[in-house]
Amino acid sequence: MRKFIIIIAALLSVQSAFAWSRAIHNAIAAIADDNLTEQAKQNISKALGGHNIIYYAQWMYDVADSEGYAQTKNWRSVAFNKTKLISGKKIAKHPENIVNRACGLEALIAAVKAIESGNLTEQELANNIRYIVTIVGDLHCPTHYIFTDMLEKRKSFYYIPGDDKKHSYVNYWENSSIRGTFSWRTNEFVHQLSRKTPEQVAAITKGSITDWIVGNVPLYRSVFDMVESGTRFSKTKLRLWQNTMYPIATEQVAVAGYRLAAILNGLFDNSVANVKTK
Amino acid sequence: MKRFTIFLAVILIIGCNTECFAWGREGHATIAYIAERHLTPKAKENLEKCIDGRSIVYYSSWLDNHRSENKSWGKLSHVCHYNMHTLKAIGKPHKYMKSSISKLKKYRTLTDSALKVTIYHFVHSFGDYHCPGHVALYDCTGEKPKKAHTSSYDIYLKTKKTRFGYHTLWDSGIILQNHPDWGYMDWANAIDSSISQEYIDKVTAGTWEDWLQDVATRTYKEYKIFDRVPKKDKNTPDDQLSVVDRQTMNDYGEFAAEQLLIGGLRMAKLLNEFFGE
Repeated sequence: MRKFIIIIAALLSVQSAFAWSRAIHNAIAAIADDNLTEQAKQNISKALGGHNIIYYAQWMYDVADSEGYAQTKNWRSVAFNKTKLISGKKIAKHPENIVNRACGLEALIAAVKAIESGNLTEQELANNIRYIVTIVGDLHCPTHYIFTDMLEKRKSFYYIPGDDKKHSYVNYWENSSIRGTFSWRTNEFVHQLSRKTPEQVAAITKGSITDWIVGNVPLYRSVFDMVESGTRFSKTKLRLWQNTMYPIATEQVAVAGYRLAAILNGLFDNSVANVKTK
Repeated sequence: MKRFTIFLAVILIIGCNTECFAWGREGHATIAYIAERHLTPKAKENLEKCIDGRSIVYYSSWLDNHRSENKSWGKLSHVCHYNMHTLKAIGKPHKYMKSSISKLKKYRTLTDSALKVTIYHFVHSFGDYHCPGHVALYDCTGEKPKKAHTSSYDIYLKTKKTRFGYHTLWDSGIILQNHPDWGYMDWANAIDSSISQEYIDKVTAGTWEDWLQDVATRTYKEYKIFDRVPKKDKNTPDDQLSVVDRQTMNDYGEFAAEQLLIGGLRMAKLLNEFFGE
């Protein structure tokens, strides 16, 4: 029995250690799915063997340890020198290892361009859709932004009442920033967050994919300043702190969902303009 | 192993709840969602305009989460007080609810921020007032009302083999223990999909004050929930506490589900009156 508890605890900690939680990836994909045009939905379903994109919301993580997919581990984040995007060869040449692995935007653009080329095998087409679904989600999680001047802040931790264990701020963001306030299921995320007006959607999806990612920077930098490492929260202070987080986190999930839909509608519905990559 | 898995799921879910002093997230969200399902299109449109286009479900536990940000929000009691002889609502909780309802009747005269907080209070506390654990009886025969009976005491929960707050059990334990995998949409689909108009008419007949009296009456007189698990002294050892067994949990589960449904239907009736034109 004790072993079972340890295994469950280990699984939960692994789940929260590397990305938006599976529930959040599902939510982003579901919001996107809810905003796909009928034609896009049909074409995507055909390319994915009858499945929808929610089914593959976190697929890129699921295959990361499979043969031939190791490089996808470098496609989960994006790096900035303060507010300036680090791109192209500068990523590999950067002295910080964490930056060397921040090829998320490059991979996303490559996947979009590959589909636009129309020159893919069935397998390649399906994989590129699945890459896009996971990467767009990750690139709307603040802790997937590597700011070279804020690397120390990535190690921030805090204590919760009655527990002397250090809790990672990065893990908090990726899992509890929403789950600490709402326990929504996938369809409930859609009910709550897929309700933007056409004007709001136009504002969210305005510009290129690169514009979106760079545009996230001011908010996401501020997120790293929202906790002082080593803070010992009382129950009340913890709640107050969470109250500042969940509106930001839920909004990012909604924004990611609408942007994912915009990319996929452009790629799979002839009547919708493609989102520019740069 | 199956029992243990359910137990573990309950622990994990309860563990995520930093504040267990209301129906719990699922209960509040379920009541608000049932209410939303029964709003007229006009009322839904008008109501959602007041809360930035969001669903009332989003704000169903707002008062629990934000109460410590503002003294006046903290005062908005979630437990309803009753005269133990008449079972009529009394005191500040009743007064605050009355005030919120009066404000919502003329919601167009409120500032945006005042309107939002009033909606959040109504959506949350009206739900709480349908929770049997939120019924507190007062003896009003003396100069000042004196608390006579609440659900704030420990019991021994047999299914979990542990000491448990009776209030917490009602707030979230019953809902989570009986259906740990359900979200608010699952709950609404399960209890609000095949009810008749006659049933709706029956449970929404009368005034909101009649409804509160109905909650207290059923809690104390019909279901006699506190008689089934009497309060013991706080120093009572675990093995001598009142025991809540599986059969009692099943019975409580039925009562709780009915309260979620009735609470949602009544909330819809009032919101339709406030925002329907």
